[in-house]
Amino acid sequence: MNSDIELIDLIKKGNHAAFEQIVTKYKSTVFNIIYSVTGDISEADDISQEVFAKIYFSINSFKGKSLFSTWLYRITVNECMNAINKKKHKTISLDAEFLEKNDGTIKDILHDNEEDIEKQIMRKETQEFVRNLILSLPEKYRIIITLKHIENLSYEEITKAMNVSMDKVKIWLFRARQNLKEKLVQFKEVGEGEL
Amino acid sequence: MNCNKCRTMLSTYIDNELNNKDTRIVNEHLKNCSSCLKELEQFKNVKKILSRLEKKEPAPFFETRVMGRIRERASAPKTISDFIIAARKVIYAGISISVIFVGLNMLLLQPTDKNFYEGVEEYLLQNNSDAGGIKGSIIMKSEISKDDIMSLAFLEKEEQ
Repeated sequence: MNSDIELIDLIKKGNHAAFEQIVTKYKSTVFNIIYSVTGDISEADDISQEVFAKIYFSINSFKGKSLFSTWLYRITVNECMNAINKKKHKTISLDAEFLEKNDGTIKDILHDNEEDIEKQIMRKETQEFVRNLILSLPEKYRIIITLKHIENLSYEEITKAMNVSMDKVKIWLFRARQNLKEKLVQFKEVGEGEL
Repeated sequence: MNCNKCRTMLSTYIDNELNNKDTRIVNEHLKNCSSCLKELEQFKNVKKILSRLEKKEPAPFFETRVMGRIRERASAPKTISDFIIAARKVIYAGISISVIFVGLNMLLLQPTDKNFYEGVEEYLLQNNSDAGGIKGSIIMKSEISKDDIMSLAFLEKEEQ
């Protein structure tokens, strides 16, 4: 497979196959960021298509001053925010029903070591639990947590993707994690002991 | 280093994104502080839980759907009425922005508690003791360091 720069040059010359290669290479990245922020598979699919359509029609504005992936992250984050603003998502509250459903699971996660957790929790339940945890956060925190934990971006890369300062990245990540930590403590019945 | 200061740095610490000096300071503090050590474990637990999230793949034929959308959009005929609609949008947007700008200016002249604090965070993050002019002198003449400012910003709770 060609490098991103080579592919971009080909796309600028009208090569559709090169564009399809870019889509194949980055579709999972784009889809996962959007899915993690919206929590809706069909919406994530639709917005992901929109991201690539935007990239296709504005490819000439990409001058190669940054990495292509940085530009792609930036467009993805912008499209996420646009979609959220259009259809303001309800922040999922970790309500009583969810708490009841996950209570035992969460207690196990909080108390046990990694091996025990693996034994006790079904993978699907864990996935659902973690996704709901992320969805319970305000949008900007969902995005930053996704970029850090799913895409494993460095702080420097996150500053570029979200167009915010390094200090903001540190503060938002701190607050997002603090928020998650507090939610986990709530689940576990406040005052019972350690997280 | 006090515990509050240490706790605000733990999130960055677990990502190995602290500079060497701050890493050493946090390490020293953690040697003698069991409550911060406990806080560190909690942050690590959160990180561990988040790391369990698996990637999902978009539905099959994603590339085909993207190319279909692009073709559809590229082949949509452009007419004079499209141009007029676009021009109208630009004019309306310009008017709206002007109205909003004037409105915001009026609002900002009478700050509420909430936007005062949001403004403070923005201000504090963007200005430090190296800043010049009046803003710089305010920071320079006060005894607030950038570290204090960052600690305040970390601990400020945001409305959800």
